[in-house]
Amino acid sequence: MYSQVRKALGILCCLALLPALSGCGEGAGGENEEAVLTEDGLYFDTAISITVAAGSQEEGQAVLDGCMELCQEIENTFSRTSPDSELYRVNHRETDTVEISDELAEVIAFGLEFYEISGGRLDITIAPVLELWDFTDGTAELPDETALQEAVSRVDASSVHLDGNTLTFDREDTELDLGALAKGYAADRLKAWLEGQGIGSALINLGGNVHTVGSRPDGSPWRVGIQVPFADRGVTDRVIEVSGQSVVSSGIYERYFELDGIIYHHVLDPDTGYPVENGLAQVTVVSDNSLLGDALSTTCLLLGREQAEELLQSFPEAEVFFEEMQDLSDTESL
Amino acid sequence: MKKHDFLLVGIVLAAALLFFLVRNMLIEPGNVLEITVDGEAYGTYSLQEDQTIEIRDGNICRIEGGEVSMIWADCPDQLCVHQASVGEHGGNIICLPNRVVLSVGGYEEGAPVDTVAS
Repeated sequence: MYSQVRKALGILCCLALLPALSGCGEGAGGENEEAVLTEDGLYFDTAISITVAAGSQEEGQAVLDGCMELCQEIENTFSRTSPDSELYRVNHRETDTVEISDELAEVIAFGLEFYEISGGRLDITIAPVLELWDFTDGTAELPDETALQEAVSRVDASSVHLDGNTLTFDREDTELDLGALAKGYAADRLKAWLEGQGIGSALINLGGNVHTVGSRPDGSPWRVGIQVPFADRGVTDRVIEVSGQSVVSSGIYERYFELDGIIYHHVLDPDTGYPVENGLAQVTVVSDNSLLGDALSTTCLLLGREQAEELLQSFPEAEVFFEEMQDLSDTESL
Repeated sequence: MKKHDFLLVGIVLAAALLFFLVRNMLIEPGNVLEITVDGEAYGTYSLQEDQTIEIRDGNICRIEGGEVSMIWADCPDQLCVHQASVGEHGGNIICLPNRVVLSVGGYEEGAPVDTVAS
């Protein structure tokens, strides 16, 4: 009997050892020659953050410095508010025809194309209306109704014509705003520049507009969380894994104020001058091209879900997620 | 004699039950596969996305239908390749010779993200 108890104890000991055996695996870490660096900055009216994996600390820092320089250069072209920018000079022109840079021409051409395909919903001449709304000063104040209607009457992208680098305005009082496109454009430019520098792994976040170069330094995809509308900043539910793709979310929760129980947000209807109201809270676009993602996400938000889904049939290369106001946890992908 | 046999069976069963309970307490359900090599994080993958993952030169695992299994290993014993696949109930597949651990546990929602799109 004792031998059998010993046998049983022996088996027990073996069983007890099993988890210990399978639990091992702690060991010396492998060498990590790559330097992963992150730099934050303030461009395009928002906080930006760029992470790169480089061969060395010095190389990484040089690349990040180059990125920030490029951001400054792009801002000097596209800022609506900076008196030194090219766009500012276009908006404050003295003649009906102006010669513009290739960079500005590329984005304006894209904007005019989206004006056509969105049935006039995405309108880069919305600037006069935007100027009357202030979503960031902390006060909840509606613009003056008369002024708003006057501004709306100035919104008409069909009166703007681009031929090569020559931009012609039919109206003197037309002002352009490229806020719906500039971050996407900048993300594409940064990515192309990083790739040109031989960077194979980088993460670009321009105020929530995300673009990626390759995968994470460990080879796994970048994990991009999607902001839950109206939740605290940084709260996510959906995680999208991408390698080299762009993830852009547009939502009505980014810049808004509440007045008498109504949410007034920054996605403005070019026909009324007031925020659009179509039940959509957020549209997220995953695509290779961030300029397309930026334009599509805003356009979908302007169109409403039904029309957006129709439009998206022309863009099979984009993966789109909708978040609706009525049920913020109810999501669907196309 | 017979009585002693019953005792043995009883002890072994009790031990097996204990092992099972402890194991279940330690294993966390989830849909995230975490791979470590030599104790170092190698990558995190979603069980919801079918994919094949090469782990250095020594192992290849495959996620399919929400379960992960080791489909190839260059090690002599091939124990990891013969281990049952691991799904959302959680658990590990271990290749001791190559010091590769596939571990399923935790949910994607709670997993860390690299950045946030907003």
